[in-house]
Amino acid sequence: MNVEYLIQALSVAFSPVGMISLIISVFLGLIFGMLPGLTATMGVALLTGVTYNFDGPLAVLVLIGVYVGAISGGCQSAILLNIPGTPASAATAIEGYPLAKQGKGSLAIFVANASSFFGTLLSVFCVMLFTPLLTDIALKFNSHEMFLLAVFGIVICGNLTSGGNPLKGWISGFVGLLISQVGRDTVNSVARFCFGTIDLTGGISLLPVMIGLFGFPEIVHAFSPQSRDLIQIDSFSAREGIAILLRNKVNILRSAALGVCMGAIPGVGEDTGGWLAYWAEKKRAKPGSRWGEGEINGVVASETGNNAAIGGAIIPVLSLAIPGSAPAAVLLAAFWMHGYRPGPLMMKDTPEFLYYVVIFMIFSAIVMWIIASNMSKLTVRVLQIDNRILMPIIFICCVIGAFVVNNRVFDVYLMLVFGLLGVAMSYMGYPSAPFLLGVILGNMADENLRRALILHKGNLLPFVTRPISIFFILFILALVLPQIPFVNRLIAKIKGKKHDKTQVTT
Amino acid sequence: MEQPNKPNESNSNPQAHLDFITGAVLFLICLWASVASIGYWQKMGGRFYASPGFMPILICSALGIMSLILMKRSLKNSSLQERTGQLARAFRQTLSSKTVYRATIGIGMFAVYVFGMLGKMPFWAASLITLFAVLMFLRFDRTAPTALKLFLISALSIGGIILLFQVAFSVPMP
Repeated sequence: MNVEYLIQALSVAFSPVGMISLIISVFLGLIFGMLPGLTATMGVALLTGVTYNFDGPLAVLVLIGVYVGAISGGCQSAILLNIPGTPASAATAIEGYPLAKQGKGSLAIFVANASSFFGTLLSVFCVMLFTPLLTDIALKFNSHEMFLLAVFGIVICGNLTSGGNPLKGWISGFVGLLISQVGRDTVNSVARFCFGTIDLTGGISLLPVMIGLFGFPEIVHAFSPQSRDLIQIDSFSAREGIAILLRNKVNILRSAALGVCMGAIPGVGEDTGGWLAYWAEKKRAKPGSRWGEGEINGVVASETGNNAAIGGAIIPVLSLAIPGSAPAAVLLAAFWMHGYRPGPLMMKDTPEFLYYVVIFMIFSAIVMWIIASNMSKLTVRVLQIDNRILMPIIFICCVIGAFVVNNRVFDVYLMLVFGLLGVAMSYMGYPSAPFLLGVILGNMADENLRRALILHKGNLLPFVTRPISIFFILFILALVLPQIPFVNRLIAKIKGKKHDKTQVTT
Repeated sequence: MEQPNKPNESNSNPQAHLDFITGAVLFLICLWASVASIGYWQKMGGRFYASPGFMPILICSALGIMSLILMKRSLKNSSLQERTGQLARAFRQTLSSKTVYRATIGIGMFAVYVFGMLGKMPFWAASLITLFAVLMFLRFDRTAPTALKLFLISALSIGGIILLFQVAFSVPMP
């Protein structure tokens, strides 16, 4: 623990500008999280534009604040509207909305906010513990491992985000990889797929792709009429809320652990963290519990899990420069924009950055809990805003967000093009997360693969002789092979023969 | 959007016709990109694995195989004729869908704003016109605000955006 870096981080957070910025950013994050159609990814992306001229640490504080706020804010609309404000709160809606219908909406929101706070705090502890460890391991990676890490990230993300159809997830990821090849390659500076356009020689910027891919489908969704059944806020007993939290100590710890693990897997993120934590708690259901009809333990589990995934998603961002989730990907792009270089060399070059992130996350969690607990009346008003009015305004903000990265209108064109692609992908069942991961990791994969082959004169042997490479290859095969029908039939045949042998011997 | 389906067709994959066309389009893209990548290698010379065309060809090979698998899966329990027929029906249904019509007009408005107005007129003017036009277009039912209210909403929103981004935070506008 370096006290000097700790003091530096605290001085930014405690400064008047820092405090005011944090309160505003967490508040905006809560609004973004609360409104269906606005996601944490969009919130962080739009605020990235606002922080364009900010000092580095202040920008990081604002962006972490909006990230924590947005993931936490989703529970409000999940509970009161049965529409999760962000995908991360989808599991909260299952138990939270029935609770609201029973007149326990305020209690559910109180418990959800507190669970979000604890989830974030516990994940901060994991960030402090695991980031230096993972960075040390990453320093042992050479070009072979870095290439395989990129492939592994895309394959596992495709598997876990495709809703049971990994082929579509992998196609999405590989299309992202192909898109990342546009522009000058990092080894020879040869312009690829530029069609003679100077604007494309610099490659495709990440932020316009993200804003288009994740924001535009939600904006287009506003064109179809929607109705909302908003349940009004009632009063509740804080003592009862605290008693529930104390009863769920183990649930909170388990959900936080699951959330951190899910968040750390590239591209998977907060919604899976929330679902897995919810499922794990539901599996322990005792007779007489009311799962699906307003089981408060479910709210605790999903909100702890999804907020813990924030820290989980930040761990690979800091140690490997690989995002654990879509909002973390925007955060990574923002870090780069402000001159920070997360990755294996972060602990050597800019070790104070870890302290900034940790302290800012703690402060964001505290401010989020205070604001979220006191904004119930505002919540009802905000949730009544018609998306048909809000979304076109958000589109204008998206245009600014896309423009600000390189000060080019061309990036706005790209945002619209990728937005249309996002609409098509969403309609045809292709997940966006692997695509985004492919765009982020493509150049890293290209550079490292070619470097590895150039250094070893085309020899592929190091891929299968280096221990870490073998680990990645085995993991990738374990994810891919079960999807091949021939392999499944072979496994079934072997299992059938074993079963017959067992029956014969008995 | 409605999914076209004859009564006797398999319902196991309602998007099979879309998978078929996606697979076909992806495969063609992969072919084209592979040819272009070979061109980069020939231009650069040297070893293939060191050339800028190497990674795109690897990606296109994997993507090409996956798109063929996707096409094959989409033809399961069906035939090429059936899938193309399904596509044609889906296209006709899409054209007649009100939701698609509204979404297309809205996207068209955004496209005119981005490609036709941005950079060619002041940002505030382009944004105000577009926002007002979109809000007017989205005014589906009688409960929606009047045109004057929508204009005020547009003007205040654009004013607020300019104040926040440009004045307060010195963010450059398109």
